[in-house]
Amino acid sequence: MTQQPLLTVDGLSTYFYTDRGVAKAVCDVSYDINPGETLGVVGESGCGKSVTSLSVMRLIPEPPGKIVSGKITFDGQDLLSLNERQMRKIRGNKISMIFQEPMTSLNPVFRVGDQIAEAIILHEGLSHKAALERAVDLLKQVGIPSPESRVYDYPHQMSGGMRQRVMIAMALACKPKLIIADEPTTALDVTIQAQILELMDKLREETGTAIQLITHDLGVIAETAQKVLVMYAGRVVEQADVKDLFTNPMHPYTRGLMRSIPGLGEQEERERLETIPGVVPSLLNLPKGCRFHDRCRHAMERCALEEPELKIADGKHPVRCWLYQE
Amino acid sequence: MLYFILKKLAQVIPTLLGLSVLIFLMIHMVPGDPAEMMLGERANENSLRELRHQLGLDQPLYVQYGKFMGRLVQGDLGRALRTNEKITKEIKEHFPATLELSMVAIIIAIVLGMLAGIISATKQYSIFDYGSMLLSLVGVSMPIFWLGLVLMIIFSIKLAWLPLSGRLSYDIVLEPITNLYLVDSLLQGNWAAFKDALWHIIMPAITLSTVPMAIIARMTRSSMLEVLRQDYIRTAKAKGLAPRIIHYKHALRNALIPVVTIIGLQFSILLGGAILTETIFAWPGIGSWLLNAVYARDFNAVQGGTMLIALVFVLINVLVDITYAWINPRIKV
Repeated sequence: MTQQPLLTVDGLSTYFYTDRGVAKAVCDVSYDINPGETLGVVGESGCGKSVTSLSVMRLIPEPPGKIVSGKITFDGQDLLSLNERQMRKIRGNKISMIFQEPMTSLNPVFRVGDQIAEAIILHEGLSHKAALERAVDLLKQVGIPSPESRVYDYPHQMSGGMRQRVMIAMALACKPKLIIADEPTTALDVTIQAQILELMDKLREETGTAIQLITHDLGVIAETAQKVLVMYAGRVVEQADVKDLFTNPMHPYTRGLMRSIPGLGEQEERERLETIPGVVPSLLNLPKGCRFHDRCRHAMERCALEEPELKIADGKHPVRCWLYQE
Repeated sequence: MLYFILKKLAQVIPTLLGLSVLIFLMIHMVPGDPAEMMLGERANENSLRELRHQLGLDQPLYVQYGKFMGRLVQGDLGRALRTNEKITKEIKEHFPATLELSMVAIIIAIVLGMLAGIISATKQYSIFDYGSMLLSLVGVSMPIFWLGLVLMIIFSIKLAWLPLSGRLSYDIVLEPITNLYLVDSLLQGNWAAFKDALWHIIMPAITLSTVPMAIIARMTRSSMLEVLRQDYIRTAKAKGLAPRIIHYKHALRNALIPVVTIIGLQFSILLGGAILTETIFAWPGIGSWLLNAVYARDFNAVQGGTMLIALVFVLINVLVDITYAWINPRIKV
């Protein structure tokens, strides 16, 4: 089964040049996504998850940001070599995005139907009327009741969950090959979260789009992703199939993340929820050696001096940790 | 929407009532006796008393106010003491001049000010941004009578491109309809008059537009910068829209909301009579008319003129509210 990956990111580094120094938000990140597959990207806030996806969309504000190295190949096209005009033909058309904040991600002064139709008119050249009809179908597809009247709603007339459905409808509008969902459920209630994730999974099966799902919630990953990328301070620290990762988490950071998920076990099994001590280091001032060493319970002398490579350990999956090397 | 407009208009009535009381009281508290002004210092006590009685000034204030309001609701502001003309007639002659000048000035200010603000915001920290913001700083801080005089020296005296002052050349005949010369000449197809009126209005309008233009430019810039940081702009980018559409469609409509307030405010200030500009350019507008009325202690005219300006202010505010509701769907109509 040697399928051509839909998206290949190879050695991507994105830095931000600020007055206080260079923030290395993404360092040498590589991964690929196959058609119709969901890749989960996990990590705490400030780990470079969003910057990675914005780099793929070439939406990094420049300056101060800059993609300093790497190669992004999408559907056989080298995205970093495209000019702005060519890139605009890909955005919203072949790759679309769903953002974290449904409350603020829709333009408050335009009707939701028009906002969905806009991308269709732009990329497929449909008439406004035809595009609006498609918008109604899309709203129906994402489970919005009475879509015929809802297309004429303004965003403020909808709840958060509804707005996120509109965002998903907007992302699906031009039948993209890849949807990048940046924490799509973080701002929503737990029950709505489940509905939205279910919806995304259902749509993925129906339409065959691949999804890059960014989240800090491992529970979400377990439910929806096939492959997982664990990121820490701009680096990939572990990369595995979802089953592999949950049965055999190797990097201390991944394990820490798993221990900090609340379980629903028996009364006596329940313990105090663990946390990972400390915070993600400032990207302006990264520690020497392994970027996680000062928060790691297995830290050795070597960890503070040299940074480990991302290497396949125990013949299973790649992990960036000295515990599994030599 | 119609209901919304009617509701807003209905709210105007109590505001105007309150304003009429305020204006009436303030004018009657101003020192100086109109009768004495009219008859001169050497008038004898009898004729003064006679005139005060004739003007109704010897009656209690509330009676005077009642009479004033009684006439006002019939659209009668009384007679100007100076000229013995009906005040409504004088206003009809002078206000259109101010209205025409203010409209041209505010249009110039809106078009250029907003354009400068938008470009400055989208190209923040560029040469254009620094340049236009510096110019707008000059615009707000420069005395406009000085600018008016400088323009006159350059364009009328040195280059002789534009007429020095007034609204129309003496040899041009124009039948007044609305007293807005640009409109009247267009209605009558009188191109010579249109061109002449346009040539006359250019300099005073540019002079008058500088301050509002500078304020609008700064407001548009800061409002646009704020909007361009919003999440929905990122969404628009992710859709693959071109920057032009993102700026002028998605961002501008949101950024307009605070700008509309400023435009309304500036426009009402202009309509209140740009006394300096009107004086320099010998523009027969309401500002210079009102100034002369004040000098002459013509309290009837001052009262009428102030009422008119108050009405204009209030109506423009209603217009701003309606524009708000039109731009911003979150306002309940």
